[in-house]
Amino acid sequence: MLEIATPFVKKAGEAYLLVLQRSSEFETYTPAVNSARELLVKMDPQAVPYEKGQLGIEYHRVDWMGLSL
Amino acid sequence: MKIILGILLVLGVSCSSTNQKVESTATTDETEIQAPAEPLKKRKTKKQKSAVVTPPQEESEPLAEEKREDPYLGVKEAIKNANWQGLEGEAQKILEQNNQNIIALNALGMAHFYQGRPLAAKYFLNKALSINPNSSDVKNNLAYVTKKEGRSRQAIILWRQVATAGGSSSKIAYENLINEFTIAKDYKKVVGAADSLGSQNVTSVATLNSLALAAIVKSEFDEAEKLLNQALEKENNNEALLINMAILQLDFKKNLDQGRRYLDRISFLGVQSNRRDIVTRLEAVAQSLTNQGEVK
Repeated sequence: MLEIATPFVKKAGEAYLLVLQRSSEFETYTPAVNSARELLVKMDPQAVPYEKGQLGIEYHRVDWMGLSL
Repeated sequence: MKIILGILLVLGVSCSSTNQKVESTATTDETEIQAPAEPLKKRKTKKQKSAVVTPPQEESEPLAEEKREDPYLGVKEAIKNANWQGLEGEAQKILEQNNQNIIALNALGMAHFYQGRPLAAKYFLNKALSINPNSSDVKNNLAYVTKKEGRSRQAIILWRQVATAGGSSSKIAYENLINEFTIAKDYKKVVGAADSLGSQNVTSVATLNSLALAAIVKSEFDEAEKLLNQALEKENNNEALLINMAILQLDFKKNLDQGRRYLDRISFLGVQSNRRDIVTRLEAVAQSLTNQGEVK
């Protein structure tokens, strides 16, 4: 990396991290947050130590009020 | 002469009575001999039938009636068979009897939702909430519909309300919260919700997966493996589970043999195009672990 780019890259990293912190604080998870995470992991994997590409499963339970057999 | 006749009469009477006795014992013996093929329980019930007091029959009759008269039987069957049109009809039948029935309103709302009518679903769920504003079950489903409309934040707020209120529906709310945070990759929140839920009585594959990811964040790798294995027992070809298991083995446990085993399985089953990058990275990790082993 060029020396001239270093402060800008550092600033970008800080901004990505801030995006993740704010999204967690406001519980708002938009596609932009995902992009920020992906870029941060590429830039500094130690910033998100447990992110290795684990996958969640899209599933939510319906409450049948005891009627499901 | 009279005395002799009298003696003969007495003897005759006594003989006939003894004969009767013998006959009567013989008949009871016959019934007992003919009966052995019958099981013991049946014989006991026969005796109970002959008895005046029959409490078991008195108990069983109302139970059978209850089963027949279960007003929600049709609703239950429709839910079991995912027959949403049928569920709509059954719920409406109940509402014709009592239009304030929250359970039927909730079922009707979800029937509309599954038939692609979210606005109608919300109308009936809100109607149920107007009858009982504290109904956590209805709030759970309102959150579900809100989430499916794409308003995740609103759904999270509702699920959190239900989860913190306690009661039977809080478990469902916690499970939904955990899965929502897992999809968003907000692992701190996953851990928080997982600690509140606990892993007992969790049966859904998605929640087991989320709990395993929470355990990874807490560096409890053996617990994570146990939870993923539980989930794989239910769905052994689930790609997300297999990838998470490979990540756990290669990235966190550094167990090359196990990691390779899961990678081979993933390759054999085929990978979705958007997940190919993860598998490629895992193969690189496996290769570097192999190289390290060779150097050692």
